[in-house]
Amino acid sequence: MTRPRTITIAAILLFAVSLLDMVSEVQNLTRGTATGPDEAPFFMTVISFTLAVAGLFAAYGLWRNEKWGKVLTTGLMALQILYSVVPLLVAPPAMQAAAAVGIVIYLAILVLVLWRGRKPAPA
Amino acid sequence: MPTRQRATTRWDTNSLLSGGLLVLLGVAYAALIYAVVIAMAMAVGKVGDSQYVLDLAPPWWVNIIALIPIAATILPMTRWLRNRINDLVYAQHDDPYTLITKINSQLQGMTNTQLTLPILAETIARELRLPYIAIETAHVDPTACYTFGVEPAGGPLSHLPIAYLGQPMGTLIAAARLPGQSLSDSDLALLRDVAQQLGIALRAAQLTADLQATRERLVIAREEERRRIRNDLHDELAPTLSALLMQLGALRSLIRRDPDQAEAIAGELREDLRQATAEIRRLVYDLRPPMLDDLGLVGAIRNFKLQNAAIALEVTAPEPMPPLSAAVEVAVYRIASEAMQNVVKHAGATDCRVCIAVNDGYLTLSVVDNGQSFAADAAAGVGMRSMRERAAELGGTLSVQSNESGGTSVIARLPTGVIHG
Repeated sequence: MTRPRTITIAAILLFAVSLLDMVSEVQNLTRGTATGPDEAPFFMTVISFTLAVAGLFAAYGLWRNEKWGKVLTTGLMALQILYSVVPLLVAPPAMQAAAAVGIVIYLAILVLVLWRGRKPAPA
Repeated sequence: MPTRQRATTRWDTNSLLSGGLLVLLGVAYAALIYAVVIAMAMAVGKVGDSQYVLDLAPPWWVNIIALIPIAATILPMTRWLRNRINDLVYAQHDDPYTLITKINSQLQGMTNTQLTLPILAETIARELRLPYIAIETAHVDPTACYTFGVEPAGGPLSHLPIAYLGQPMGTLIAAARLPGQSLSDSDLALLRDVAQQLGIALRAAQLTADLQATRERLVIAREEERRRIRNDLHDELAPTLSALLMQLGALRSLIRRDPDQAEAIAGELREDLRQATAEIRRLVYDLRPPMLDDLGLVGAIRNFKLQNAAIALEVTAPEPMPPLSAAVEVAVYRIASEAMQNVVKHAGATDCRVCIAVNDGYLTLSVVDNGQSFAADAAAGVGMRSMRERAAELGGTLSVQSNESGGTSVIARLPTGVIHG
């Protein structure tokens, strides 16, 4: 299977970040509804967990260099950025920093997937 | 102009997917820029902290500042995103060789451009989800244009040259997926690759057509030659031999009765036999100059009678002359003879130099005189056309040019790799 290097890097990044998200959200899910002011609302935990699972599927699609994997990744990254914008503004400083780092990673994955790895042939 | 049906509908699944992704990414981009500006305003204390986004309530001028970069960049960003998403959804920009392989397999089976090129246009349009593809052929079939889909009204069309080793073979024309859009760089790169493959295929088709035409010309030429020989034998030699037969009969009947009359008939018979022999020699000479067998090519040219003693003939050739096919030998001899006759008839020259050189699989024959220059606008006569045809028959060329110091040069270049006959 021939796969551009940009897609390989994007797949690894997406897999890693989705796995981390999923593990951390599993902990939040097992705790149930939010009890403290520093915790995210439960519905956001569910959304985050769903996005993380979808991210793992998308990473598999990217690794297989499938078109559906790239399309799913692009859509997921747009949703993840939208989802991370809120904590960037209203969350505690630690979560703000995490959201900022997340946005940078999502942007990087997005650029890698949309990157044109093939130079135009000379006219 | 053969046309096939439309390749894509305006709103198919891919269009909806592409549009949805574009909207999602555009909204995410705008939200991100807005959030970054608000976060910076919060950092400098112009916006108070809050637990809820809706309670942030930034001042109006912060909103304006946030909207300025969004408004300034949303159009170019949308354009960039649209191209990338189109590449992702429609084109095979990460795996262009699937399309190239499919096209190659169709081209390899191409026996007729009129049948294959419309199918190729359809394949390209379907694989790249383009609404309109046209393949114009310039040299294979000068007026042919094979299209698939409907040309969009007013939409920009991309024209990509189809060429082979710099020689234009046609044009590949493609329309963008939606009216008003242009094809992305990735689409154009892929179409250029396709155009390169088309150039090779069209060149091959052109060569095949040329080969077929040459074969037909060869068959026609052979049949023409057979008819000429038949006519010569039937119209000239056969009546002469019949007359000789009748004269022999008369001679037999008179030889005892009237020896004087018989002697006279014998004299006529001898003269007629001489004419018949000359006629046979002429026929043989037309088939292949006997001097070529007796003296070789260079010897035959040296032995050529210029019919003007004032012209000095100088022949230079490689020693020893490499072996040539009978076809090349005859062609060189005929071209040289015609060129030398032209020197005698038209040039008014005192010197005629014939040079034969063999290099890199080509024989170059030059006949140079020091007489009058060749008029560039002069109409080509029968002799000139004959020389050109003889060169072209063997895949060679013939050029006639004036020398700087006066006189004319006839230069023929013939491939020596012709099958020995």
